[in-house]
Amino acid sequence: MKSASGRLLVASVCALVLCMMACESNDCMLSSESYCSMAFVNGQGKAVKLQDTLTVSSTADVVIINRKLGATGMDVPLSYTALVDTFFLQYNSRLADTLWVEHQNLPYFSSMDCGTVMHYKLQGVRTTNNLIDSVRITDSEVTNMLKHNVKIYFTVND
Amino acid sequence: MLPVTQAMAQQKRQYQRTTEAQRSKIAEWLDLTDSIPVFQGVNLMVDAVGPGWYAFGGDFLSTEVALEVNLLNRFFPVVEVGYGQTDATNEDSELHYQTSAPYFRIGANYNVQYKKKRPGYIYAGFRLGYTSFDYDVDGPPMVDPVWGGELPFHLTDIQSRAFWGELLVGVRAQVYRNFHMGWSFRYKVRFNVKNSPNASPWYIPGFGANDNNKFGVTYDLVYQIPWGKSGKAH
Repeated sequence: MKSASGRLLVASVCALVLCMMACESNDCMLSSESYCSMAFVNGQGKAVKLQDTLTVSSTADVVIINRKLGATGMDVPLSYTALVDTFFLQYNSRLADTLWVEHQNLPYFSSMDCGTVMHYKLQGVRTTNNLIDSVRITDSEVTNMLKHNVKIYFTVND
Repeated sequence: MLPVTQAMAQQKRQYQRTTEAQRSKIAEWLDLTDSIPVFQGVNLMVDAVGPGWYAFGGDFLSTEVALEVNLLNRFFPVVEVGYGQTDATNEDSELHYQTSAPYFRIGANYNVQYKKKRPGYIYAGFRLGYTSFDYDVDGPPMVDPVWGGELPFHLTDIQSRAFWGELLVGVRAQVYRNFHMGWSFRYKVRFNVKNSPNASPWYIPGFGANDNNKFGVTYDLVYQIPWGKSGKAH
């Protein structure tokens, strides 16, 4: 091999390696937490906006939503360790519902840069029936890619 | 009537030229195949980029050997066998990832300068790669920011496998007698990878960091195994 062509080869490889190192990217999701996303619908399955204020709290004494007016849904965090979480939905001073979410906890490794995140598999959803008529799981996999997991059917119309 | 006859004559001449060109091409091919044996030898290769990358602080160590058959100095079926490993810790996330496994690639190169009687060439080729491996991930406990409590994070012996393809171009030149060197620049496309409910692999032996597609490079140290006269021919 001629020495000039040898140097050219080495230089080419070095340039390519440097280019590849510079081109490495980090594709982490924006959210590092997984939320169970619930959509509010009426009896016909159409989206509804609640006329009352909505306050959602958990048994951990954490207020997740505080007196929100015109809510069309809610994203609730699930426990890392418990298998059933309880949420209290307070519509106004007189009406309330309780929601139980059963889930399997799946600690998930995203990547070395993005770290870990908790994923869940929904096992079941139960509720009282004051304003809520019924609930249905639409997608049992709860990840940090926000998508609707549950539909809550209200007895009220839009 | 006369122009029609002229046109027919012109078409006939063109047809004769075309067939002569085709005959010439076939003759050239036959001449080539007749002049040298199909089997031109075997090349043994090792990749220097894998260990070099690791020596300069990379997270992955990949050692690889390849066996290549020279057919007509034009086609080079090749088998590549390697061992990829990593034992890395990320200082920011404090995650530790460990795996080690063999990998395999098969494919072929095509020497675009096969007519030139010189001991070096430029080539293009493809590879199909496969690996099956287990990996471990350890990290700090996961702390629940809402409900409280924490969960230890240890994933062990997660099984995975991956299948990918590579398109490559490269050059190779003689260094000394039967020793050659050269590099190949590769575009890798991951066809399939097995994820578990708890993880997707961060590193795939033979492919590199897990991604849909990526670029790679090899620097090949080649020994042309003497095989009759073929060792001197090309």
